Amino acid sequence: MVHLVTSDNVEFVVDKEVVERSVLIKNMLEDVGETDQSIPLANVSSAVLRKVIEYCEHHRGEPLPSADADQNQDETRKRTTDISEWDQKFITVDQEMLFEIILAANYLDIKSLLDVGCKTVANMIKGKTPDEIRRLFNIVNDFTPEEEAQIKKENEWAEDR
Amino acid sequence: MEPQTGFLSLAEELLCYILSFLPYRDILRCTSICRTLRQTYLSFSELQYIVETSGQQLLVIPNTDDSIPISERLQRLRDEAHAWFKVDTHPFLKLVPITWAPLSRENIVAGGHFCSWDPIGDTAMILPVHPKPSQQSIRRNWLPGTLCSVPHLRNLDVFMDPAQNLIAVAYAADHRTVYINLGALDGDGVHPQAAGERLVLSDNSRSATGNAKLKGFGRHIALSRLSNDENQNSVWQLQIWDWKYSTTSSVSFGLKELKELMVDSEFRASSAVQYPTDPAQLNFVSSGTIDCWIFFDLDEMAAAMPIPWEHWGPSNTRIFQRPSRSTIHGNRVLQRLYVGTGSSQFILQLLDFSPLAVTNGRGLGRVVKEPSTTYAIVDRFGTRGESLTTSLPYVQVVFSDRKFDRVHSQLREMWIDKDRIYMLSKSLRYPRDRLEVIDVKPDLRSAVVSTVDD
Repeated sequence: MVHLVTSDNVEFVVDKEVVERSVLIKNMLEDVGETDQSIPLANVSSAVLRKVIEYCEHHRGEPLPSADADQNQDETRKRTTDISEWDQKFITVDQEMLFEIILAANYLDIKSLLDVGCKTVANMIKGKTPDEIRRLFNIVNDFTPEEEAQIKKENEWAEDR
Repeated sequence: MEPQTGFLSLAEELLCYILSFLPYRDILRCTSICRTLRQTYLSFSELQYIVETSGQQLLVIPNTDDSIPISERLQRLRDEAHAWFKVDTHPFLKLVPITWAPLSRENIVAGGHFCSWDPIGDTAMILPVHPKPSQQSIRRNWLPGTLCSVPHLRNLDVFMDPAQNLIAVAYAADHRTVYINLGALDGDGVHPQAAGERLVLSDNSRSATGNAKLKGFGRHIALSRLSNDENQNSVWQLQIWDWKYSTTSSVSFGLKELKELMVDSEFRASSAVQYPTDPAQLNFVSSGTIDCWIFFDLDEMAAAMPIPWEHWGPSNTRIFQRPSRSTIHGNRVLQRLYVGTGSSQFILQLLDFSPLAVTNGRGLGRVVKEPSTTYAIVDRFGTRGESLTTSLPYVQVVFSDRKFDRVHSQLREMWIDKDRIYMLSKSLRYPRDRLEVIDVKPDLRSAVVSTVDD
């Protein structure tokens, strides 16, 4: 069992097999060897870690993606934003939690979870107009009208012909 | 309370990673949202690479050993696109003699190989034509009856893609049913990456005619055929498969309505040839009295059908009257342009339909944005015609450095294969034909002349 302590000082005790989906923790454990000492995760809150562990529990035992496999998938990856049913349900959270999960997955180095999070955001963006995306993510348009006209002109070729 | 974690609070690398899952149109739209996202786009070659690859409809430059950084690949992509605007049609890399092929043969050049199928004798052959060092080179002959191992009526069309070691054979199992067999070029088994032994048509209820045409590009294979509907009207059907992924077609439609509106009887009767190109796009051309270039977005196509021609067709299509022989690869069309007294000579011209080229032509070609109107016959008896206005923009580049004599050049066919132009001419040294290779790659103009016996 591995002991993890979150930024808000909550201790989690997790199966080694589960927590090792995080490459960061896996490497840590390999470096330190068997230890009872708890690992501090200063960038992850307990609410987020609970979700992350839920994810790792569900995918326990699945093979970790190797660097090689990743390479081969590269060509086709771009267009597929498919997410499995369970993952989709799992990632149906509010925006703040979604971005926190992405940050945590990135920090803990859990590639599959990072992909689920990023694909979800990509799916939210897909097909929307710039205005709709601004409203969706609360983004202020900080371009001058001239800049905006210039960008519009540059991008004209890709819009519906 | 800590500030809420929002989209823009993610690190630039993460923003880039998220955007990299998007189709190129969406990536570009994101650049007009705010400065941060625009900067992300400008900072990451990866995102520009996705946009420019899609915008040019090129094959992705393979990066199997991961030794080429993305920024360099982006530069190569740009250089190669640029090179197409200033092709020197003179120096050939190689003259390859080809055993004289009867006119009934259907020839293509793909993946550095000359592929030929004779529908009458049911023989086929493939031989390498100056393949690149990294390419597998295949040389093979098929005797009658060996192209397809399944007992069947007859072969309808054959498509070979040496780059993927694929041979696809469309065959009629009986008078109604058509299948497509997926085999390996260098062996007799099923292609190891194929989703199944054969592709099935979603609608095999109609009687098949002999006009089946098979084309492939990358992960897509398309079959078009003419068949009769319940009222004995001919319907032009098109189906497209993602052959490594599924044996049932992802896109299937009859082009009856579209065709009624815009295509002439010859197109309907004999010469519908499809050229699926980029995974996302499909073009086709007729070689009847008009040339018609339609660009579909396959991904959007599947979702939104049928598409009303009036809303979509004219702006995605360009029709030319009295075409000269032409060839297409991706968004690029190579045409003969007749010049001189009595059109006794011709030169080559390139039409680049990629939207990015139209924007970034940089004065190297003539950008044609004006709509053009063509008169097309719309019924099979040639009695009813209709004016059709189409407006898909393109860049026209004329290569006037070499004039071909219409009679003496004996040019029979030409092809574009990625970054090369191939021209098949009848040779005076009967019984051999001559295949000329023009390399379009930037700064690779070392002319090598050699002869290879096949």
